[in-house]
Order: sequence, then C-alpha cells, then structure tokens
Amino acid sequence: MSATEGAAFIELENVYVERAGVRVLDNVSLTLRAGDRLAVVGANGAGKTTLLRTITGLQKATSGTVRAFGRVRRTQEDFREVRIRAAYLFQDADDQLFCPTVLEDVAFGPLNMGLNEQAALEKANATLAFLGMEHLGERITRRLSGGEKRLVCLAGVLAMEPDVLLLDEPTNSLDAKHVEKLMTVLSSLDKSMIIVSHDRPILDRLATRAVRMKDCRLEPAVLHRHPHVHEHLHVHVGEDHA
Amino acid sequence: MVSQQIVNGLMLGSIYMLVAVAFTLAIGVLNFLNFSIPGLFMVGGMAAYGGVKLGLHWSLAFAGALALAALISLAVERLAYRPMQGGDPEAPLVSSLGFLVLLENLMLIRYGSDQQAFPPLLADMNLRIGDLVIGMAQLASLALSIALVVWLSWFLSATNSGRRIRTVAESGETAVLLGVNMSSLAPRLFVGSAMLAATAGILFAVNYQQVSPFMGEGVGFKGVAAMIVGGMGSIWGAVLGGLLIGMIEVLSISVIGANVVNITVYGLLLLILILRPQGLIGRPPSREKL
Ligand SMILES: Nc1ncnc2c1ncn2[C@@H]1O[C@H](COP(=O)(O)OP(=O)(O)O)[C@@H](O)[C@H]1O
Ligand SMILES: [Mg+2]
Repeated sequence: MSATEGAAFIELENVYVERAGVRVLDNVSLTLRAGDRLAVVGANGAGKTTLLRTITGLQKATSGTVRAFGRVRRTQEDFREVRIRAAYLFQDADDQLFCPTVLEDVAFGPLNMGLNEQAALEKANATLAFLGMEHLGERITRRLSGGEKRLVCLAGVLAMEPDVLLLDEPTNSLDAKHVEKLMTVLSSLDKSMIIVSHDRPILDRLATRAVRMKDCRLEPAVLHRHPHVHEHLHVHVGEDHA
Repeated sequence: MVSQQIVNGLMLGSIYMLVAVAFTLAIGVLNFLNFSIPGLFMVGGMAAYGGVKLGLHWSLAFAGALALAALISLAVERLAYRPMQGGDPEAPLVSSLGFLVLLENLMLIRYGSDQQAFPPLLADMNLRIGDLVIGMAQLASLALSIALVVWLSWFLSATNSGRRIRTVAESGETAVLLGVNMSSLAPRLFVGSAMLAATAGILFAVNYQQVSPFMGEGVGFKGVAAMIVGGMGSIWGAVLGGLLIGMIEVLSISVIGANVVNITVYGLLLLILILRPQGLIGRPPSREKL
C-alpha cells in the first residue's frame, strides 16, 4: 500500500458470482493499481474469463463490491465508463472486428466515445502508426491473417486510450512471429494490465505479480513459487531502460 | 383481374412489410419479441382517426399519431424492456404483450369496439392504366413504404449509428465493450420501430378507410409470420415475407374466397418453413445480420 504503488484502478471486494445457479467466483478480492501487470493463471473453467467479465460488468456479481476508477459500479450505466477505461481485448478477434476496413474498425471505439468522424479516423491512424501497422489501414479486415487481426483488435482498444488492458489469453492461437510482436507492443505500453494466460514465458515477460484461480477462488502470490519469473522480470526491466 | 389483385396485394403486403421490419429491428438488434408493436400500429391508425375527427388537418393528425406512438414506445422501453435486462428473456415479451392489451382497452374505452370509418383522403384521384385502377393514396402509400425501407437499409449500412446498431445486432456484449451506449441506443431503436409500426397503421387507415381498437392483432400476427418466413433478423427477409403474405392473402381471397384466407396464408407459410426452415432469405451470415 505504499504511495509508489499508485491509485487503485480496480478493486473487487468479496465478490461472488453464480452462473445458472452454479458458483463461479467464490469470495474473490483483488486490487489492480496503476502500473500493476497482474497475471491470472489457472485451469480451464477456473473462472478467469468470468473474473474479467465481472470487472467489465458483463457478468453481474451476485454479491460483493466492484469498485473501478474510484467509484462503486453497479448499473450498466456505471460500467460504461469502466469499459472505456479498462479495455477488454477479445479472445476471438472475429468477435471484435466487423467493419469493412481496418481503419474503420479501429475508429469505431473512438466514435462511440463521442469523437467526430474526422477526429476518430485521425486517432485510428495514429494508433495504427504507433503499432507500425499504418499500411494495413485500407485493408479488408476479414482478409487479414489471425495474427494481424489480433493486432488490429489491440489497435481498436488502444485507440480508446484506456488506463487498463484486460487481456484474455492474448497469445492463444497466434504464430510465433505475432506473439513476439504482440509481446513487444504490450511490454512497451505504460498501462496497467490483467493478463489471463497459460503461457508461462509470456507471463514471465509481462507480469509484475500473479494470482491463481482455483476452484473459483483467487490464491495470491503464486509467482513467488516460480523464481524464473523474477529472473525474467529483471531482464525485462533492463530492456525497458535500454 | 390479376394485375389489379397484384397491385392490391402489394399494397397490403407493404403494410405487413413495415410491421415485419419493426419486429425485425426489435428482435434482430435487441433480441426482444416486442408485442407492443401491433398496439403501436393500432395507435397509429386510431390516433390519426381521432385527430381527423377532432377537425385537425390530416397532416397534423398523422404527425400527432406518430408522436404519440413514439412516446408510448419510449414508455415500453423504460417499463417493459429496460428493467428486465439481465433477467429472463421471456419477461419483456410478456410485459410488452401487457402494453398491447392496455392500449387496446384504452382505445376501447375512448372509441368503443366498433369499426370506425376513416374519412377518405385523395378520394377522387385515381391513376388508370388500361383496366388497372390505382388510387393515388394507394400509390403514395406504396411509394412511402418502399422509400422508408430503402432508407432504413441505407442508414444501417452507411452511417455510424447504423454501424452501432449492426454491432449490437451482432453481439450486444461486443458493442458495449467497444463503448456503444446502449442506454441511448435502445430508446432510439424503440422509437424507430414505433415509427414504422405507426406509419403502417396510418397507411392502413388511409387505404382501407376503417380503424378499430383491435386492428393491430391480425396485422401483428402476419407481421411476425412475415419476419419468420423471410428469415429472422434480416430486413430484406421481412420485406420479402411481408409482400409475399399480402400477395397470397389478396390472391387467395379472390381465387378461393375470404373464409379460408387464413388457412391458405398460414398453410403456405408452413409449407415454406418446412422446405426452408431458415426462411426465404435464410439466416444471414453473422457479419451481415441486418
Ligand atoms: N454461459 C455460461 N453459463 C453458465 N456457466 C458458464 C457459462 N460460461 C462459463 N460457465 C462456467 O463458469 C465457469 C468458469 O468459466 P470461465 O470463467 O470461462 O473459466 P476460464 O476462463 O478460467 O476457463 C466454468 O465452470 C464454466 O463451465
Ligand atoms: Mg477463459
């Protein structure tokens, strides 16, 4: 709780979630502060995706408190701001992309935030340029490769200038080249993140701390049992300063 | 005369088409089978009748009827749709059905249950092509319905609001995650489908010169049938289904007789659905839902 840890962006307090009468999150508490990159590991069906859905209000907490960006969030209206400031990178890129061209897809979020057409397109162009993908702007989104689509999705959420990225298995089904590109981009970003992944090396490079979901509960400080992560973390920090 | 029947069938079909498109907007985008739509159709016809009877110019009476339907639809959104979000999907269906019954009974109290005669507009103006007689009101209605649907289709495919609506149709969750503001979009959609339904009600009143508190029910059923036969969630499917049902209805009345018209209409629809369960336009590929 030292001052250097920064303000809490997201705080869950004793959150319970039930889906179809079955408990999916069991007394989950979690704090994400500015600068945190929290890894969430755990077996399939442990509740990791549900955790992200609860933070964004897609899933209603049965009880407990979801606090985000300094306010308790309950209604859909409350969560609208959360979804813009804590952007969710879709697990399946095709779920996010539906515009004819890449540029339009990336401009969609900014448009919804109230930017006019001109400003939204500029924002989209700038974001694509930042990711080194300006050449893709006029391409037909549907015809991109899986890896390119994932990066376009990332551009789409980054264009909304979120404080927090919620990444659900971001490297799933990506080829090595695009994993590398995605990792380079993510580790260069000055944003808080929650990263759900099975990919140990990825977490080693990105995460600053970790939790494990097991039987619908969160277990803290799992990274301590994996000294590897610390080694890599230091390397990663070194790169950042280089 | 067959060509006259075809014109009449198109006219009736264009009314079903507007109602079917109103249903399609509600179910395709919001996943809500909105049974207040037949009520809004009726409000269009009855309120226009009430306005004209009060001595208003027809244009004012029509505008008033549309405005009333829009307000009622906003109330449906607020009271039937919004509170039920995240709950049982059947709940808003039932509460919107409640609105239909409520509207019918309010009109019943005000105007009684009889058919009321709607005064003819543009009565003496007919277009004659050979033996074919097309009333100007009929022609204007047909043109207006088609223009409305073409405009709607353009709006959905070419504007930013349309893109938002298509995203919601695709996935409500995707849309809200990308910042679409559902609490402003949903009321607009309700107003949009109310406008379509009430316009259909007004056109019905003008063309068939009769209105009643229960005029929405038969049309509502045919609108839903048109939507299903056309292919759920597709606007052009609803257009095709509506025109087809209007045509079958008019032709079967003149060929077989009015007594069996519902049997022929629904029998044929059943046959179409047996042969093509996904509807005529089919379940559209998920990327081009509307
Ligand atoms: N739509 C749903 N309805 C009911 N239960 C669900 C639904 N989706 C997932 N679940 C259940 O919720 C639990 C957690 O799922 P999820 O959060 O997707 O896990 P993870 O992302 O860790 O694999 C699982 O037991 C799963 O079966
Ligand atoms: Mg998951």
